[in-house]
Amino acid sequence: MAKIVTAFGTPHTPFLPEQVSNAPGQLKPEAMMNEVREHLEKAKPDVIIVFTSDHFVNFFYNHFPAFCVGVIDEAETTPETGCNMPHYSLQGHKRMAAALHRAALKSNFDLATAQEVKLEHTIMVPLHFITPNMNIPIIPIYNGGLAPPAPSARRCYSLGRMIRRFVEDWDGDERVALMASGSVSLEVGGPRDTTWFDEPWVETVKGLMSKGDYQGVARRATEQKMLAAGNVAHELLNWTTVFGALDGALPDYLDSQRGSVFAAWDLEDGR
Amino acid sequence: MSVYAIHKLLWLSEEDPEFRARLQSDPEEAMKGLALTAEEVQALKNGDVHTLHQWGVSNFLMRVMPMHGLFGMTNETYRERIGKESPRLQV
Repeated sequence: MAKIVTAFGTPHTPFLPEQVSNAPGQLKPEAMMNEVREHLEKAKPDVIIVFTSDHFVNFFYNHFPAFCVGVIDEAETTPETGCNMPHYSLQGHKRMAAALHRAALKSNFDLATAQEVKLEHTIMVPLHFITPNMNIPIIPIYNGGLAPPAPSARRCYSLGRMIRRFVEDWDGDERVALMASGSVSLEVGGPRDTTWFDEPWVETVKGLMSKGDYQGVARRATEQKMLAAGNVAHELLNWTTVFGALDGALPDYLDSQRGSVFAAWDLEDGR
Repeated sequence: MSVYAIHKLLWLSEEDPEFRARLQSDPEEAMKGLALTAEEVQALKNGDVHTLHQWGVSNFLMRVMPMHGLFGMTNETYRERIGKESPRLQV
């Protein structure tokens, strides 16, 4: 039986790899990424299920799925303006991803599938810091939050619960990590620039997380609330999906910087 | 009005370097292949991001205009023109 041995979440600031490269050891987000990396390395996962919001890299308005799982053998990074980091390729876990897709459909979660994906900064910036050897296969699961209307936070939470059941029922013995990518409050290209963030909302989310009240986050994260917190604040949906798979475990690391939260859960004891 | 065509232009300008180069060098010609209305073409040529915002164009996609210097847009003119009002709740 496979098991979820760790979960983590970070923002995916596209220019962070370059900033850190220019000032190694000097920036707080680098230290926070390193903290998360220590938790991941301790857990020794065999596969990472990555929850992210496609930023118009794999999908566009001609087809933007509410949810999509990448059923891939491997994938590579794609060039993105403003994101300077090494070119990476990563293995997928195709058999497990295909089974996850089947299990989701059986549980009434109608995920789309993609058998070819381009790895964008929302996946690769966190992994650049957390798994720099790029030796852990991934299963990417996208949501369509950047092209509203988005799935509800409650629905994402339920998807997370389903994925926990799937992992526990899976016939392999993989040690599974879950990753949430994205910010809690952020605006990119809108009337409020990227220096603005909704501090009370970030503190609310962080406070609920510290108490393990994940359903409380999902309940409060309405579409209106997330849009008011910035035009990419729906990235919280990636977190609420992970929350649904935690079975109430408290975070072992939790910190915030501006509109972003960094967190890690050590789940080895089966909490 | 077809916000979709504006989205497509913005998306292609990041996804397709060849299209981006054409848009930068001869915007009028590059826009001919897209189903844009005359009003939309004018708003784009004017760099009128406030109007695009009002029409419901994705702010996230609009960020490529200053990023790639489309229609003469700079970070400063973009910030100045998009305005300071509250963002739409429907995007």
